[in-house]
Amino acid sequence: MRGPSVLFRDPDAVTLETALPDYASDLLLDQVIAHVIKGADEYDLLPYFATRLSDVRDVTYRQDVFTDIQDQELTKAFVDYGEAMRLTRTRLAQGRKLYYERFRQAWVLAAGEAYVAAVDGLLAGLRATPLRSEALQAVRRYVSDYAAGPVMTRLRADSASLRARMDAITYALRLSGDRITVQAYDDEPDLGTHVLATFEKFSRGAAKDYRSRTPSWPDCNHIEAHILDLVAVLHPDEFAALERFGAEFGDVLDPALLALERDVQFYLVVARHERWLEAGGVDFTMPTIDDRSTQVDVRGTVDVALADKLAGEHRQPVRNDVTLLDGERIFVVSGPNQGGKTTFARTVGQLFHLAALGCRVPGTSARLFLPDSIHTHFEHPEDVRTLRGKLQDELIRVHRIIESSTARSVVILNEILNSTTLEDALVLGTRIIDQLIDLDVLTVYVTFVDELASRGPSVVSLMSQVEPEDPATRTFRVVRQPANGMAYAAAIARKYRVDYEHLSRRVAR
Amino acid sequence: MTAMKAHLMHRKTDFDPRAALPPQAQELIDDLGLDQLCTAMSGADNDGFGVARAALLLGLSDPEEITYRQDVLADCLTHADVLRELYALVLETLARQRTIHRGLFLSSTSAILRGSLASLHMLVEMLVRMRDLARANAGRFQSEGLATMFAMLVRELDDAYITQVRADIAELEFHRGELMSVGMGTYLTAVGHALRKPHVAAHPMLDKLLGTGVPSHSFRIADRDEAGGRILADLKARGLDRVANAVAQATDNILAFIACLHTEVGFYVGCLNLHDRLAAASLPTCRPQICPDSRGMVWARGLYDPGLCLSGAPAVIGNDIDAGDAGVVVITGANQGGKSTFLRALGLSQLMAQAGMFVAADAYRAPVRKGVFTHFKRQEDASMTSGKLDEELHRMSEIADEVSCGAVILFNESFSSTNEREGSQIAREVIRALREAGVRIAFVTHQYDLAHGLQAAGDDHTVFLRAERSEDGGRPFRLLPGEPLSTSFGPDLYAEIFGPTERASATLGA
Repeated sequence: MRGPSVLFRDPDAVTLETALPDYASDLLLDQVIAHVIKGADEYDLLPYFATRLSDVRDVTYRQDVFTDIQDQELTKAFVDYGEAMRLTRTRLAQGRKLYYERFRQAWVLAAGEAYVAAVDGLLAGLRATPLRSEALQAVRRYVSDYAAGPVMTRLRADSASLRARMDAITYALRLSGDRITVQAYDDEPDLGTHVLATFEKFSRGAAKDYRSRTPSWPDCNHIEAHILDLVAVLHPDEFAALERFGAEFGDVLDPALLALERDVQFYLVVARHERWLEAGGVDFTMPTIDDRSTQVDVRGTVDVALADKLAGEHRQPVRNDVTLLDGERIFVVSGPNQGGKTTFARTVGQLFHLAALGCRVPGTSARLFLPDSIHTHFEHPEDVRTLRGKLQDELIRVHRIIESSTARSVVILNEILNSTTLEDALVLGTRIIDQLIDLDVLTVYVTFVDELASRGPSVVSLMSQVEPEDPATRTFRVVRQPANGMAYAAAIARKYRVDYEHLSRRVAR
Repeated sequence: MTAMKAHLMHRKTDFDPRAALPPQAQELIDDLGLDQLCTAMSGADNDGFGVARAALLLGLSDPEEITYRQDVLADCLTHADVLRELYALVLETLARQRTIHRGLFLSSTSAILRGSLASLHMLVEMLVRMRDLARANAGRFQSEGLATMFAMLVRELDDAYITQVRADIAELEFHRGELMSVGMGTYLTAVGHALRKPHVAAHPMLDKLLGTGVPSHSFRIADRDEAGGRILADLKARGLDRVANAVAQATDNILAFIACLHTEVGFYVGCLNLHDRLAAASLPTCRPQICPDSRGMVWARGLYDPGLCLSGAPAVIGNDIDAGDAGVVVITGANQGGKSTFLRALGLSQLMAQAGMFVAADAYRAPVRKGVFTHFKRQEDASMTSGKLDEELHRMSEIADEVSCGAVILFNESFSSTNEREGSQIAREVIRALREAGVRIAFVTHQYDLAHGLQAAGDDHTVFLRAERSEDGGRPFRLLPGEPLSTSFGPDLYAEIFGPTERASATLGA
């Protein structure tokens, strides 16, 4: 029986991407996701981060699960569940490696016990928390039915009783010379206890422990195996039961539960990453998806890749707003270098991708839509082709982007035309932005060409800011402001006394 | 709960010679000559030295505890031979233990077992001898501490117990790791190997023939199976593990008991040693009387500094002091007149009294102190980073951090490293502040200004003593009640050194 999916309302209708989209590296999402899924390699979670959802209901399906996961007890129940399932698989694998049959059966019994604990533990966790999401409610019903079903009932009882019987076995070993004798234990008194009792009157509380630290033998050896065979002769019923259990346990692991284990990891790793960033001061908010419009309103957001990096240093990035209302469609972002323009551009792209995964986004409030495609073009200064070759590649790329975009797409262009002449940049840039205006596609256009910022009513001009008293210092805030070209350059010159008045006095005649 | 206790110094706990000493410990050791006293008590025994020192510096504040120790000490003085014999047994035990290799560092189970059994063998023998000593002297001891301890030895180490212990040791010594029980671990690996005492079969041969013993199956390790041989050896060791641990722990515990005896009996043997030295010089000792309600300093007859005797001084003089209601004692008088010695006598007697020991006097009465402090003159500060007065005031400040109502401070020529007017003023204020706070003070000074000023204030609670000068200028080093005089007999000394022709006249000033 196919169990419910916690990730998709209709799992059969989904085609998973196997690799991240090509804009992921421009937006540094590849780094962030690599960090998020670190340590969970065995679950292969990348496809879930690579596949955007296109239906608002699918997004809400996941958002509700994220809300449920806020409950720490529930998170813990899922984490424990994952551990118990991993333990089950480990024990089965370990057993298969063993040479001696009886020991293999012992590991199968231990695996069975772990599996029972996993299922029962998960059910207890699901029952202990109020669940809002459709997904988890379905999971709870499924697990409840399965736990009460014939397979689990039998497994629970068999493993418990078999364990009890095996634990109760005590045998005696008689060693003399090179002969080992296995015999029934006849309740002979324990010498160690006897010695302790004799000297009890001298005891003074805490005493040093002289017992040797050798652990139980990891690889069962031929002597132990032989002894065990003889113990089996003394206790034939128990060992026969063990053999039966080992044969029957086989492939009892429910595929739906295995799938659940994997799928739930998506929520666990994202939540864990969020908590880490929140501890550093970043706020997260559940975006409202409104697919009837293409308006955008996100407050107090940050570049999540930068936040990731700074959190390790106990710092947080500066917050910005991303707002396009009414007829606004295109951001033209200009201002001093290294001032946060590229960061802003990335932030916008990240917001759309993350929201389309059903995740929360950085910020205090967020209204977004689900784009039909996201396109980026970031300048890579280290490209070593000729300048003409570079311009050609850029134009081809931008042309392709424009051809494949609609009014419901998102386009991010970062510092294109930087390596052309100013005149080319002005002319080509104007033509490109006119096409984008016609398309009415949501765009972030980072450029030094100020004139583009006032190209039309749907264009919004943003500038990265500097400290008014000290123009050499960036604030990393990007705010609405008419592009004012080189105004800041004059202030910096004054600060270093190389403006005209100072310089002419300083330079000796 | 341990039954084997040697609570000779505290009624309910062991004495810890390694407890933290008070912060002024080093000053007390230096100024009062404590090391000499402790050496006399402990002889060549390093550990004994430490115990004596700790006992003197970690004085008791509960009069009942002091009485407890005084009673034990009285018993020891009466039956010194028994104490010394017991102590000799303890020392012999420790010496023999040092020659036994316990095998603890080898961390091999059988080595640990062998070594611990060897120790146990010896320890049982020595405990029996101690028990026999206790039996022979049962009933002779009156003090709660000693009576209890001897009774405990007799009771706990009775013949039946010793027989059983010896039998157990013998069994372990000859055990070949024959039989052990084993349980099933999570992965069917063997756990909980525990050595067992085999039942003695009534007719073992018959059982074998008829097969009526417990069901058993056996196999042999093949001759060339080296790995198997190693596994077998490990199996044996596992079986021995718990037993070896138990035996090692038992040995540790018995040795800990012996160590307690060493510390506490050693302390009293130290007291005996000191007592014998003083008695040999015909000097008196007495049991001090603790008067908890007294607001004064001390009342004593014939109080002397035992250190003088120990360093071989020919004649040791005792002094009387009536300061039972007085909180301040001011001592003036001739140079080298015995003032410092008397200060030491005051300090040592208080420490000894609070350690539960006897005191070097004919008779002695004092309250319990909240600490004894000394503020004695020091050598010039060699590093010259601070002036002498600086250094003195710094030390005074450190004392001020620790001192509280009920403590006593012994000042020896303090604040004299400046002119007399300034020094007196400082001293006056210090004394006043301490007095009002309830701290007891003994102050040796040659500063007439200070002493006279205190006397003129006419306070009932201050006692003045003066080092006596005989008419011919000789010094019998006696202190008598007397008001301060304005010269300090420097002329006497001058005359002594510069010759009789330069005899000083009475008009020469200080």
